[in-house]
Amino acid sequence: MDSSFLVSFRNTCGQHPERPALIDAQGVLAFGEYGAQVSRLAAWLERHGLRPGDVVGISIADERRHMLASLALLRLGCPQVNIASHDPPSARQALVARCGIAAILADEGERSDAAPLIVPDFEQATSALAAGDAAAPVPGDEAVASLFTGSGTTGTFKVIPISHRSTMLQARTRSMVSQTGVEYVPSPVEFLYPKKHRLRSAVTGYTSLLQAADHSEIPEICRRFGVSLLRLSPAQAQSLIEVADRVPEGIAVYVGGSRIPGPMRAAFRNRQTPLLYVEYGATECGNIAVAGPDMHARYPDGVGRPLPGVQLEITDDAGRPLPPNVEGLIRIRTPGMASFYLGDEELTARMFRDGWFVGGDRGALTDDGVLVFGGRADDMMILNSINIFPAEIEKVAEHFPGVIECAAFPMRSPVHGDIPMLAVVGADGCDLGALMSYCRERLGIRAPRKVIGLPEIPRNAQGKVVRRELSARASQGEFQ
Amino acid sequence: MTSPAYLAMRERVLAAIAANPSIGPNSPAMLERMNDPARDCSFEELGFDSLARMEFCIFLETEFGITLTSGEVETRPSINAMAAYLAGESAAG
Repeated sequence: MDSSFLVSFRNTCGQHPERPALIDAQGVLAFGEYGAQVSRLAAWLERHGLRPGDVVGISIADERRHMLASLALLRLGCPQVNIASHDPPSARQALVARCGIAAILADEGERSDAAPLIVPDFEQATSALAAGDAAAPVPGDEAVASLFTGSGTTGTFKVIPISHRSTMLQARTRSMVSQTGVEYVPSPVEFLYPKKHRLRSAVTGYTSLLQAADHSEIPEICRRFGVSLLRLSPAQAQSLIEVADRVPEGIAVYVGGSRIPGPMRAAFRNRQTPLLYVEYGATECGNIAVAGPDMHARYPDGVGRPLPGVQLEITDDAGRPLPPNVEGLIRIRTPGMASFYLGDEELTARMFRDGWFVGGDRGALTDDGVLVFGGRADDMMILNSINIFPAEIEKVAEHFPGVIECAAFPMRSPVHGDIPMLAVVGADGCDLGALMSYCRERLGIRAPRKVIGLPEIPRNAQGKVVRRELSARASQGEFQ
Repeated sequence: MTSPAYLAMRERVLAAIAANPSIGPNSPAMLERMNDPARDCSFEELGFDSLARMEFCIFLETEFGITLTSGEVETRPSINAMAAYLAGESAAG
């Protein structure tokens, strides 16, 4: 069967050729022209050597070009990987090696030793004079569409293959307040969350507004472009609470990515709009549940009822289902769920059990079926919706000269979530400042924000690091 | 404004800029201007984007226990405006 995602995208473009697909600084790109430009770019990329099955990195910061490239790669049957310009070179190299990237689509001026670069001439490639479509057959529904990358418990990042079919099913599962409208996700396309939503909008006929903005400008932008749906990270929502201007009445605001505490929901609804939706999802599963405006007062930590088609259970550690109102491990089945991690059988066996995804979140289901999020079963930190495991940081830091032992832990922040820190027992002369730079070069945004020298790492009787104690000491200001 | 509280906060703002991994190093001329309390410098001139604002906030929180949102940085978009804001905030308790 042909890719249901591409078939739907073509249908959308054919049925609504005049409807705006993208709005950006260049103006409006309607669905009819969007589809045509994607086809022409796919043909151009094919002429420049890309073949079905080639894994291709995308390192393009321009929103419109990134989306055209992404859809053209889907058309060609080339699995794609986002390589963000804010990632340090070593992280980009690791990504290329791990995903088997054959080429990188890049902006002009980009340099890379990791894989051959292709710099598309977008004006020429997408012009009406260019050839119509690629010769390659439309990929099948089970072909890999994207390789999503994420933080892994063992310190190595995980690679999640998502098929064309899953991409389509995840697009259909997401909660939308209306069938058409203008969606605005202010975060850049180089991040996974905004990119997924731009792709989902492409296929469901929603208009994507592509506009970088300071938080304070968001309400004005929403007015100017008639935005009907706004998607924010928790940090963006927190910042918008401080902004005097309000988003226009009637806009639905979705916030997801980490726990959204009750007081923050109340402040947002009071200062911005009561139409707040709190989402719960996972990269492996897509959207799982959503708490609408009527739920926040009754369930301040509730993330809503599972979306249609989603199965969700709470179990004990052995996988036995628990009764309502008892907290345990959350396990999930969603339409379009991933089923394995690339090249990591051990992690696959741990997270995908008997057809369920068990991602390590804890929670409880109320009598009326609302999921109340309870935190993590492991040590994962969430910094402004970026997942970071302590092992990722520790594996890098251990290689630095003079580090005898180390432990990463979160400093809990009311604004940013978990700020990663690193406690180090170092030999004489171990340069902690240089260690911080060393981590930054290798971990980028996942690096510890402070490195603290300690005489010993606190451990329990079994020898396990007591991160909670380190977190508590950080909260009390001991490491300032 | 040259109160000790203000000047102390200005030093903290400068430290947060110097440590910010999301912006490049500043030229000697820019550093001279930044270090002169009689002059000012906008965050935009220093190359602040959303990531740089986040790192700025995180530094102030981890080093000094000052909790700030990126929105508060956007609306006090220069060294002196931020120092005055933080001095006012700490004076108010």
